[in-house]
Amino acid sequence: MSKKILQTTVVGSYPRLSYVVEAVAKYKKKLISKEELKKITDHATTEVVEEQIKAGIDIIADGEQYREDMEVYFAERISGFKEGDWIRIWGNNYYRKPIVHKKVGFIAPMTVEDYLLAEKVTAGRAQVKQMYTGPYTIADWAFNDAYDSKADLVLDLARILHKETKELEKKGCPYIQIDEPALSTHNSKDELEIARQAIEIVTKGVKAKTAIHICYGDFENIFPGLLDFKIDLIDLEFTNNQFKTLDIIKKYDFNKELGFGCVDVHTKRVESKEEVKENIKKALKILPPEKIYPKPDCGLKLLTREIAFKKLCVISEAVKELRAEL
Amino acid sequence: MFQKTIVGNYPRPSWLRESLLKAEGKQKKAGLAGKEVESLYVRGIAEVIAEFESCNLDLITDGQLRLTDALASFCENLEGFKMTGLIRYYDNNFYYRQPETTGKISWKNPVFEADFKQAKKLAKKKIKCVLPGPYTLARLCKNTFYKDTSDLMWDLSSAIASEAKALENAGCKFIQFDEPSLVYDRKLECGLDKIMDALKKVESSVSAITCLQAYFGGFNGSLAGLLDLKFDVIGFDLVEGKENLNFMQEYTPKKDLSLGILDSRNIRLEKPSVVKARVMQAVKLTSPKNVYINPNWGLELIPREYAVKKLKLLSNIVDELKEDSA
Repeated sequence: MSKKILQTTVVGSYPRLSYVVEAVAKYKKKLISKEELKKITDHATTEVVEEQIKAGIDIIADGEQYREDMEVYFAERISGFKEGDWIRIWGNNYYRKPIVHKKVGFIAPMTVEDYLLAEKVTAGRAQVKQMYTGPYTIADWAFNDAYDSKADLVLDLARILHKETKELEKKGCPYIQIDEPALSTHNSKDELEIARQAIEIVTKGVKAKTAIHICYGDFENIFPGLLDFKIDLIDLEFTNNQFKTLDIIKKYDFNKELGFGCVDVHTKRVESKEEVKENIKKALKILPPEKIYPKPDCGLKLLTREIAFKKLCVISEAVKELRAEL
Repeated sequence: MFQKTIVGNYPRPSWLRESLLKAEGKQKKAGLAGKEVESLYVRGIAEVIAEFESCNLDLITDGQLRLTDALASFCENLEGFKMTGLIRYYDNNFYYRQPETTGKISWKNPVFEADFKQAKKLAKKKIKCVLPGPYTLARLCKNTFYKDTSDLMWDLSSAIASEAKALENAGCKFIQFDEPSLVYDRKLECGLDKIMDALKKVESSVSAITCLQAYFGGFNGSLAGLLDLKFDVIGFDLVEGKENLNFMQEYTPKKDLSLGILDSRNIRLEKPSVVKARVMQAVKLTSPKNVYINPNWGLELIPREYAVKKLKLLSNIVDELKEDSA
């Protein structure tokens, strides 16, 4: 690549490989040990890293094969949380919503090992980014039975994730993404301000590229306030909401880089190359190509492996042609 | 003056969650009819109703244990809808299948009449019925048939009115219409005059006690017109609608009140003195005849052990309020 334009990336998760799903079920029934499970998820990480490289993605991720979900995984690795009871998500589907029962604290790096594995497998063939759930979302998706205010809890979590970020940076991670899907579901300026302060703590003194990923919800809730966040890149969904997000960000002086969702992860239909090109052209009308990072709207977890791979391939094919045309 | 009540939903007992999972599995395998599932629900509802009564509530529901999709479940039984993909329910980690219009909306048969009759048989206390309000329901749906949200809302209000009438004919004396979107939306998607027309149609369809229940936010001055409608009770969320007391001060609703005083989405137990002060402030500002005291929403998003704790706390607070004002 002569000039780094339209660098393709992913949001983070990749469909869990079937043998990981089986292994997790066995682990829950205590039929295999934690170490055996780890071996299996590590093998899956290797496979999904290869698959993203094969699809031609410039900045890949570890695929989150080892993460059961984006809340409990972190709550289990931060002190001050305890396991909660089952809470309904929909129909007859439940999750164990964690409870903050005392002051939260850092125990050990939570994502560094997986970053290093992905980096090792990649061996310079692509860049590797690492992502974790942000302080606002971790707090918002847990019960708070310890702190007098949500803000205090969020800011303490931010201090923990700042350590995580520094650990990742120390190991050479060039691109760190903070996932904050809870942010756009709240329509209060006070909530956005809590998150702004939290992100400022997380990214303080960090030289690696920092990004915030937000999906679902109403993006009117977070603009223009989000532009004041101390972050390099804002990663959002566009295709699923028929590019309503573009209409919102167009209204402001968009002073960040943009993670641009150019395929929909909520539909099994694989978009055509032409469609994806047209989608990306919409972003090119408001930002220069070096500031745009084409990627799927969100993580690919809920798709089948085959469709996820095809969606990534169509992004890189579309970008290849666009680069030649620009 | 004070009555203890709940807003609607309640956690499913853990045995019900597990039995439903097993039953669903069996149904898939052998195509078993819903008889077994039905008896599970009846047992669950009886258990939950007994729990409400042991907490000394005056006005109860069936815990809405059968609902898969919160307010949107109603649409499944109307003409003119199909259920589509999962979508987040306000700012909760809780989802519903989004109903999408396929044609003109119309009411066919009673949807909740059988549930009401069954709950009535199981309960010693008065049963209230909960229906979605027309504005909220229109906002939760995807409109691909009507010219705009107002047109969709108008037909929905006819369907809701028919349902309310059916419930009244079945013996229901208290019908609550849930309108969270009225106080959650930053900007209403329909003109207030149109919303008022729709609400009027719903309210005037029955002579039972009617309650307009708004939660997840507070009333602002632009909604003051709603006080001219003939609802007997207006629900105010005093947990997340901090502006509600100011609204009461400015516009002095001449209505009975339903006050959401405990946080239904967090497990932390509130200080009775703080809560009581808030209730008394609302009472002083509006001098209502009846005040229904409840958590600010259904309790299904907290574990059952905490839901019971909250109901007991609520009951104690109301007892103290009664003593104070005796």
